[in-house]
Amino acid sequence: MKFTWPQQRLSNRQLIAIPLALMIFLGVIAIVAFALGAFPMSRDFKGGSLMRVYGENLPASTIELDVESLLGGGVDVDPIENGLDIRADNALDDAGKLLVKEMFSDQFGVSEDAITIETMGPTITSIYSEQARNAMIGAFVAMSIIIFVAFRRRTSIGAILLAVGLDMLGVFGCMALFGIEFSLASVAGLLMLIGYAVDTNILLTTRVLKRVGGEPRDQVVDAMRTGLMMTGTTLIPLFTINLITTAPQLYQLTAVLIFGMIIDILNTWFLNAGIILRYAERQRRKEYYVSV
Amino acid sequence: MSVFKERRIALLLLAVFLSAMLVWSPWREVDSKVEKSLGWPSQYTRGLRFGVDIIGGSRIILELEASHVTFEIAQDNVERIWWEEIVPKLEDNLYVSIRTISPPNPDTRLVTAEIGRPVTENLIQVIIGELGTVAENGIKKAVSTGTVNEVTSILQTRVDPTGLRGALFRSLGESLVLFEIAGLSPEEAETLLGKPGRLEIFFEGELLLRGEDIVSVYAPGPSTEREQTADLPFRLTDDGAARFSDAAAGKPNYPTVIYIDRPTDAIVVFDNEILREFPASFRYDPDKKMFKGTTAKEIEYFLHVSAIGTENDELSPQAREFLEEQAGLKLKVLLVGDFSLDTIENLSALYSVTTIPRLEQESAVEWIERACGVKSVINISPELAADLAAGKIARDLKITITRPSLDEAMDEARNLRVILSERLPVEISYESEASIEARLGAEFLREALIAGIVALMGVWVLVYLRYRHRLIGFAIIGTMICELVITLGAASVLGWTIGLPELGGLIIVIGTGVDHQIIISDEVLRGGLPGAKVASLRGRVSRAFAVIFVAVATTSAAMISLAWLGFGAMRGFALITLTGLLIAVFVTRPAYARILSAIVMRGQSKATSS
Repeated sequence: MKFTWPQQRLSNRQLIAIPLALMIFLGVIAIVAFALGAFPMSRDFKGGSLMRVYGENLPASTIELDVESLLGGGVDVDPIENGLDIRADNALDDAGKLLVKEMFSDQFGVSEDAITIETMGPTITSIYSEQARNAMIGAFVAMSIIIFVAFRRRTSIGAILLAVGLDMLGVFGCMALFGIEFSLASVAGLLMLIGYAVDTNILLTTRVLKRVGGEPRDQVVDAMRTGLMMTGTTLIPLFTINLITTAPQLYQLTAVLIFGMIIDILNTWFLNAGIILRYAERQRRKEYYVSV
Repeated sequence: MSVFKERRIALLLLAVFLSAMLVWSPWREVDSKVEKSLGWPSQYTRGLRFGVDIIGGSRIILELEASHVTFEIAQDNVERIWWEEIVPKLEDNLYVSIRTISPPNPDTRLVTAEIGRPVTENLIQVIIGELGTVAENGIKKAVSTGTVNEVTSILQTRVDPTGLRGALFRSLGESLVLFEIAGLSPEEAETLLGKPGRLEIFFEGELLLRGEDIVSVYAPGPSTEREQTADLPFRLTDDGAARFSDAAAGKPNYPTVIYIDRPTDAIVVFDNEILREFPASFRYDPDKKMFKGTTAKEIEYFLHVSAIGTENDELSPQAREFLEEQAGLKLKVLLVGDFSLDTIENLSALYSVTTIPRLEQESAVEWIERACGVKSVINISPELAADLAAGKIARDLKITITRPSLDEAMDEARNLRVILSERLPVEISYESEASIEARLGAEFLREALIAGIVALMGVWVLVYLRYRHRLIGFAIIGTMICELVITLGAASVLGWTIGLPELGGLIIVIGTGVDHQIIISDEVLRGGLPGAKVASLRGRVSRAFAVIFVAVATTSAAMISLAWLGFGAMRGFALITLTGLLIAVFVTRPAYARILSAIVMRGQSKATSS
C-alpha cells in the first residue's frame, strides 16, 4: 500500500477546516477562562506573596486557615520537599511579614530563619503587564514588516499572520487547559514561538511560491518533510528540559513552546498549506488560460 | 575549492577557541560564591558571570517614589522667583533635592519640577504660600530617567563600590529598579541598601561638616572661568554654612579632607616598605601615628586614622607596644601590605584583622587613602576665603576640580557627587523581594547536563533516521556545540550575567540552529522534485540560505522588540538570543554548509569510483 500524506488526499477546504475548528475550540476555552478569572496567572502579573516555610510535618490545612484569617484573603498551600509553599493574593509589607513570622513561631514552633517571603507589588505587575503587551504587539508588527518585505503577496502574508496568530490563541487555550501560568517566562516563550512558527511558514511559502517546477501538492509535502524534521529536532531538547527541570521559569518557557510547536504543525501544514494551495492552483489555472 | 570557503572553517575554529578561552579564563580567580554552588565546573567557567537564580542570593525590585509637580507662578519674573525663592523653600522643608523638568516659561508662567518623594497639593501649597499655586492636576507620580540613573549609581557605590560582591542594578523601565546580589538574604540585602556611607569633612584637623549638613548636591558642569575644570555645586544647611564660614574665613588654599566611612574603630598596620614609595608630599608622622600630606601651597593636613608601621615578617617593638596599648580602645586592624601568617596570627589575638588588598595600578598613597576612607582632598579657593572673611555666609558652595582634561575633571566631579549625595535624591520602597537558594545551582547544572546529553543523542538519532548518514548527525551536533561555546564567549566578553532567562535564550539559539541546519541539509541532499531543475551544490546551499535569512530576520525582529519595549527582566533573554542568532547565521551556518558539501562530495566521489 502506498503511503499518502493528508495534503495529497484532502481538499483545500478540509485542510483549512481541521485546524480552524480546533483553534476556535481552544480559543473559546482561553476566552472563557479569562472571563471567569480562571486563567492561570503568575505572581509576575497578578501580584501577591509566596511564603516558603521549612519544617517537618506541618499541618497544611490548619496553616491555610490560620494564614487566611491573619491576612484576610485567598491563600493556597502546597507541600514541597520538607516544607510548604503558601501563596497569598496580597503583597505583604514589612509589618505583614513580621505578623506571619510571629504567627508561625508562636503556633507552630517554626523559627524565623525557616521562613522566606517573596512579594510582588501592584506597581510592578501593572508595569510588567504593560511591557508584556507592548513586546507582543511590537514583535508581531516587526515580524509582519519583514514578511511583507520578503514576500510582497497579500495572500501569503495574510496566511502567515493568520497561522501565527492562531498559534498564539491555541497556546493560550492549552495554558488554560493544562494550568501553565502566564508569567514573564511564558511571555518569552510566546515571543519565541513567533520566531519558530514563522520559520516553518516561511519554509512552506518559499518552497511553494518561489520555486519553479513540480506540483504544488508535492512541493507542500516536500516542504513538510523538512518542516516536521525541524519541529522534531526542536521538540527533543524542549521535552528533555521540560521533563528534567525543576526551575518553574524553564518549565513554563518550554511548556509554552512545546504546545505552540505542536499546534503550529496543524496551522502551518494544514491551514496555511490549504490557503497557499488554493492560491497556487488558481494562479496556475490563470497561467493556463493566458497561454491558450 | 576556493580559499574563501576554507576560511569559513578556519574562522569557526578560531572563534570556538577564543570563546572557550574566554569562558575558561584560567588567568582569573575562581569566584568563591560560584564555586560553593556549582562545585568543580566553576574552575572552567571563570570568565562567566552567573545570576542569582543560579548561584543563590536575593532579588529585590525597588520603586523610586518621586513626584512631578507643575507650578503656576503668580508674580512677574517667573525665572527669578522660581530659582531664588521657591526652590530653596521646597528643599529646606521637604529635605529632598529638586530637579527642574521643564524650565520656567514666562508666557504660561508654568514650571515643572521633580520632587524626590510623594507629595500632596496641600503640603506644597503650605510651603510655597503666596509665591504660586500648584496647577490643576499638577501632581503626577513619575521619575525622570536621569534620576533613575543617578539613584542606581549611588546605590552601586553604596552597596558594592569595588564590584567584588557582584551586585547588579538594572532599570526595569518607569520607576522600577531591579537589584540582585549573590549570597545574601533579602533582609541582609535591604540593610545594605538602606545604609548610606558616613560622610565627614575635616578642616584644619577638626571634623567640620557631616552628611547631615549637606542639603543637596547638583549636577556638575564645566567651569565658565577656567579651562579643564569642572564645578560641582552643593548647598549646606544654615547651621552647616555658619560653621563652615567661621572656619574657612581668610584661609585661602587650606585643604579640606572628605572621608566616607572613616574607620574610627581601626588601626591601619602598614608594611614599612611602602614608605619608600611615597612622594615628597606624603609622609608618616611617628609622633601622631598618622599619615600626613602637604598641598602644593605647603600646607599640611593629617589623615585622621591611627596607623603604625612594621616589618612584614615580624611585629616591631614599637608596633607591638602601640597595639597592646590600644587594645580595647580600637577593635580592628586593617592590613596594608603583605604580612606573614605569624604576624597576622599575633594580631588576631587582640583585634579582628582585615586585609586591604592593593588594587591594580594603585599608588602607595592611593592605597593608604583607601584604607583610611579618604575620598578627596580639596582646597578652599582664595575668592571664597576672601568672601567669607568679609562676613558673607555662603550656603551655595562649589567644588572646583582641575584635571589634565575636562573629561577627567567631569568624571571626578560625578564620582564626588555620588559620594556627597549621601541621601538618595528620591525615596525608595521595596516592591518585590525574593530569595533564591544556592542549592539550585548544583542541581541545576546536573539537570542542564543531562538535558543536554539526552537532547544531543535524540537529535542525532532523528537526523540519522532521516538521512541514514552518521557523519551528518555528528556535523549537526558539532555545530550545535560550537554555537553554544561561541555564544557563551560573547556573553563573557560583553560581561552579561548568565541567569535562567539567558539559559532559556541559549536553548533557543541551539534549537533554531538545528532547524536551519536541517533546512540546509534537506536542500542539499534532496534528489530534486520531478521536473525541478537540477541545481548545483552551491546553488542548493544558497537556496537554503534564502529561507534562513528571512527566518533569522523575523526572529531577530521579535527579540529586538522584546529587548526594546519589553521588561528589563527579559532583556537578557532577548539579547543573548539575538547574539546567538547573529553568530550562528554569520559564522557557524556557513561553516556547516561547507562541511556538509564536503561530506556530500566525498559520498559522490566514492559512488563514482566504485
